[in-house]
Amino acid sequence: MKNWSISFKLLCLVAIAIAAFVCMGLYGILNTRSIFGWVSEVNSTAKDFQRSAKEISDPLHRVRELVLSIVLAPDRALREKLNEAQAESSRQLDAGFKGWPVGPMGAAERAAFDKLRAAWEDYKKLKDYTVDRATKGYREEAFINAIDTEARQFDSTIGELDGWQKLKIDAAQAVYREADSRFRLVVQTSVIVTLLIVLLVGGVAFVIVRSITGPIQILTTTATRIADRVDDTQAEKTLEPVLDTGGEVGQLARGFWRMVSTLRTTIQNETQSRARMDEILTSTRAAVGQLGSTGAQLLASTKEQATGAEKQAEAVARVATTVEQVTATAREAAKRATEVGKTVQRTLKIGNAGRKATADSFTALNGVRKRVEETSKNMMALIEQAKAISGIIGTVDDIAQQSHVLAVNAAIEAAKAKEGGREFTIIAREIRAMAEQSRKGTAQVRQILDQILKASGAAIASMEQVTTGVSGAILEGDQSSQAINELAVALGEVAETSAQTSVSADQEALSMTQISDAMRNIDLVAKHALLAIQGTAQAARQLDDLGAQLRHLSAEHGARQASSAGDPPAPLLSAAKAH
Amino acid sequence: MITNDNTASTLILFELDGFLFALDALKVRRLVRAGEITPLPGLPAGVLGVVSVAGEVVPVFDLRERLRMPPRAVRSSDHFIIVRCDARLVALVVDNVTDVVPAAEAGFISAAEVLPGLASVEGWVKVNGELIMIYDLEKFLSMDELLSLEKAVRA
Repeated sequence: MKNWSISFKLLCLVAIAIAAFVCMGLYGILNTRSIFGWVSEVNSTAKDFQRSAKEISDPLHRVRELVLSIVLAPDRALREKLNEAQAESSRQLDAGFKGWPVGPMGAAERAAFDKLRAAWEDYKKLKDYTVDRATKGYREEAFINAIDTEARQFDSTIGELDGWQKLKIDAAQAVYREADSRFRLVVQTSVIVTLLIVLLVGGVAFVIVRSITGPIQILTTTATRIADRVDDTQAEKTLEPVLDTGGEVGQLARGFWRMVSTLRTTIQNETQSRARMDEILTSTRAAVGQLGSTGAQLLASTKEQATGAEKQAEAVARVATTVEQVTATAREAAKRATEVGKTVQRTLKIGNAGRKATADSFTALNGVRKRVEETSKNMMALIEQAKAISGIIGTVDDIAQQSHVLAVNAAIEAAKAKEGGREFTIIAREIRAMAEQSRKGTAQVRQILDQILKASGAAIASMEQVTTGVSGAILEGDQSSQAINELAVALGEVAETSAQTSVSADQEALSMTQISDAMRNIDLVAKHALLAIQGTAQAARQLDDLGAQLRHLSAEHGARQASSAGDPPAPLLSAAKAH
Repeated sequence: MITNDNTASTLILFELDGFLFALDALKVRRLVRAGEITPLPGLPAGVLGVVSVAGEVVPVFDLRERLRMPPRAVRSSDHFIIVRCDARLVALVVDNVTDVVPAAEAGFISAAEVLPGLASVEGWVKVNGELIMIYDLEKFLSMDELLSLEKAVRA
């Protein structure tokens, strides 16, 4: 019975019910038929009564009436006429008795009928006597016979008729009683048989329903256990007796078994991809840390550069002032030829100071160039790291896409599983939300990386400007150094030929103008360099900010991950994480 | 692409050039990321070629041509939705699958209520306040095309 399919079981149940009701129907038809037979018997009795009234009872009474009329008739003609009518009725009565079917009668009825006929024969003789007397004129004799002997015989004949009819009524009543008792028996039997059928069909239905709901109950229990804890391998053992069952329930159980296997595989895949994402996040965090330290280093070196450049600017300003003083003095020397000697000595001193200042600025500029080159190297390393991070972000993006596809497929499977997949639909939605979150995160990181690359490019460009400016300044410095040396030589000559000062004064003034021009150039270049370094410093600050932002983002992501691992959103997910 | 008796329990929402469309999740076999499409001779218009999905050769339909959208080559960021249509699998190229929602959350508006006679439109659903058009998949990919497709794939 267990291996029968549900529809076959239900068909059996219906067949049993139909067979039982067909038997009931046949029983009812048979009983109706016998009751119909009794009814026809009663019907024939009624017809007999009608016939006996028409053929026997009515003519008998008419004969009696006519005989009395003959006795009482005043003239002969009327008596003749009435006699004819009386004879006709008598013939009719005889024919009725003769033609009465005696075949179907019972013994008692036959005896009663014979007695009635004998009584009629006796009455006929007496009546004939009365008529004979009356027609022959002996009216008194006829009258006496009619009201005495004939009247008694008539009453006795009527009595026999009543007896015969009573027998018929008794027989009909017997038939009625038999039909009544049969009807009671049929009602009782029907009630008992109906009760028995209801009990039988109910019992069979109960057994069939139990055989269908039993395995489904096992399935429900297993599904509930798996919904609570997906790694509950003991839950599947409860399913084993149902798995071998044939029919629709067995198919349902096997389908459920397959769904649970697919669910497990999907969750394992998800767990693996999560682990991979965690690894990548850790390496990203390390790279971000490195990026931050490089930014800080760059900022420090840029600050040093700025300090050096400021020093240089100061020195250049000093030189410029000095040169202006020299120029003024030279002009004075041209005017006051007599004080040339003294002035030349002073000028020589000032020229030496100018030479020293130029050498100082030369050293400072070299320092600036060196630092800028170092910074440039650091920036290059930074760009390389940013590119490496970009590659990692690409991988993370790819994994997020895969997770998304996986989650959508899981949701589709859950939808196909209908009721059983409701829990899993929620989990698939969470997985999809997580994939979406990581995709947004990678987009943010990518944007920041683009900003870093752009800022780094700007910094390198401004550093190149600085290098060019510094090289120009060094070249100019060389020129001014030469000019100062030349001045020193010229001043030496001036000291020797102080008498010829007025001649060389013009030359000196010219040289001073040259120095002044050179110094202005140096000043200009130094200012350019300062501006460029300030630009670098700003770029470095931006870089530092970005590094801090990245660190913050990474820490936030880590914290979010830690918090999502902390709370248990669903038993399935927590089981997957524990893995 | 909801079934006629409107029994879809879950809808898959996908994107094409910024437009949202819906599909009955029960008709979807699975979602895969776009891979290389093998061209075949004698394919009807709108069929880009075939792909292999779990060992089965599946024709790839270009929904852009169906919906008269500007044509675009398949990108690696695209997805294939593998659906069952008249007892065979076909792949539909979409930009992305944005969501999987229960149909009960999406208010369904039958096309017959709005504009009777739209053969291939089944109706609309409202998701997050946005109206999304639903196409009847069987009517959308007509029988003639499926037959000629059958020949081309078998050849």
